Amino acid sequence: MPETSILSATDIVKDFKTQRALDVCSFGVREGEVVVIIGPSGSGKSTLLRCLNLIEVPDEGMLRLADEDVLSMPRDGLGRKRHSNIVRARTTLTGSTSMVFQKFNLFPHMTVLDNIAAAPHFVGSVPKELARKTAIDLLERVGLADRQSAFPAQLSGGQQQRVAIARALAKKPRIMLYDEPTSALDPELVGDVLGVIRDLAASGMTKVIVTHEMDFAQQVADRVLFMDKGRIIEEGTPEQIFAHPVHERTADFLRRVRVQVPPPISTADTDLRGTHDIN
Amino acid sequence: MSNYLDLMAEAWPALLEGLKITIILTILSLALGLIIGLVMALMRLSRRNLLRAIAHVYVDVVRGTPVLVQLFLVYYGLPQFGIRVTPILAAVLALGANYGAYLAEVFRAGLLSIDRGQWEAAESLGFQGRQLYRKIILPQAIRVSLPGIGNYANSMVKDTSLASVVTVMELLRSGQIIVSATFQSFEIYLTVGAMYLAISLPLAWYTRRLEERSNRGYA
Repeated sequence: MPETSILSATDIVKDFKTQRALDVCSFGVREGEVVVIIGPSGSGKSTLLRCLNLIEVPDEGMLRLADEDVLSMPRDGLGRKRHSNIVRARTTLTGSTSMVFQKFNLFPHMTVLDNIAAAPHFVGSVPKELARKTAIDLLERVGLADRQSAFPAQLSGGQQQRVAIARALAKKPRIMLYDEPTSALDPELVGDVLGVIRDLAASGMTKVIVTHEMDFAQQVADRVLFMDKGRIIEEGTPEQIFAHPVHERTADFLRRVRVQVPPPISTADTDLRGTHDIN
Repeated sequence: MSNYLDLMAEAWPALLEGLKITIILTILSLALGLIIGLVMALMRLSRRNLLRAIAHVYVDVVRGTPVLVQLFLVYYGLPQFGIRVTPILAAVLALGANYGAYLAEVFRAGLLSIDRGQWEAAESLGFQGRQLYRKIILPQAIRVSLPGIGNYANSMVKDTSLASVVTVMELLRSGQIIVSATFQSFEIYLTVGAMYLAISLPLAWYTRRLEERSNRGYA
């Protein structure tokens, strides 16, 4: 499978001070494929995603983009060349990927339009007028054409995240990386954002999505990865993972998240149904 | 009152000349201080140990010694090594270097206040190096730094009076010379004080405007 992957990570290990965040993880995504990563908080799913564009630098492992070996750790992380090696690798990866963050991370000093046009213009050398025109088109696609001169702080969370998606798309990435894109949103705003992401799935864009929204995962995923304690425990089609999980840990997690199993004790617990809170 | 007007008729041209020098001193010293401050703040946050150490030592040493000593060192000390400096240049160098140390901390606080997510978003979009700072980080950091900068700008207006001790004919020294000829200390020094106020009040108003402008779009 790695041979046909447009982006792949092999044997990734990442330690945070006292804790192992990723314990030898490997996975790849094929062109046009939508991979959804699920798992409990602290399972390493965000860290794995953030290693794919080197926002997080793995301690060990390899990153490959199409046919190119982008980074091989720890080899490229040794000695004086560490920084330049990592910057070069990150430049390569961010040239083909875009990331949408849990907390939006829009640039607060720029208007919505400038947020979207900035990277294509300053990084990609697209002429300013063209970058703005593209930005307006994208704003239309996410349903916010009328807010182009607003500042991020003047938008709701859901609107901010849609702008962030437009900003990520503006540099024409081959792969979109979504890091819990709806986790910071009020429940009633989640739907709009998921809708935008889903529409883009239909357009054939390659995506890796970390999410706690199980229904959404089931709908959009071509392949689902379940992670726990820094390891990829199980992967398969949504059908396999959600309906016939092989591992007990996967089944256990899904039971806790989806509350499919009727509450066993008292009927008073029924109003817990439908909560997606996993803690 | 007519006494005062007579005195002013005589003293005014010299005071005005002094005011001009004070304004020039303020602008040049502040500009130098801002440049040194920003460079030192960026060095303090550098990846390289050597740059961090240099900035650290600079800030500590300069903040730890009186500005008057620094001024004497530049004006009287440098000529010993064959470096001749004019009084005005000495004042600009000493004041600029001194304020640079304080402004470094103001800028550093501004830079540290920027959320990690801003760096991550910028990097994920391909921003790096100079562009990352110029377009994304510095505009936000400077916004946070503005109140502190305004504070030091105001302070600079008055600290330029220290230049009088190295014979710069700025506002205070012009006043002193008039006093030594007329013995009208009260009238002259009161006028000199009012003239400092005439610079610092508009400056305070202007920095407030700048702050408001930079807060545009912030909740």
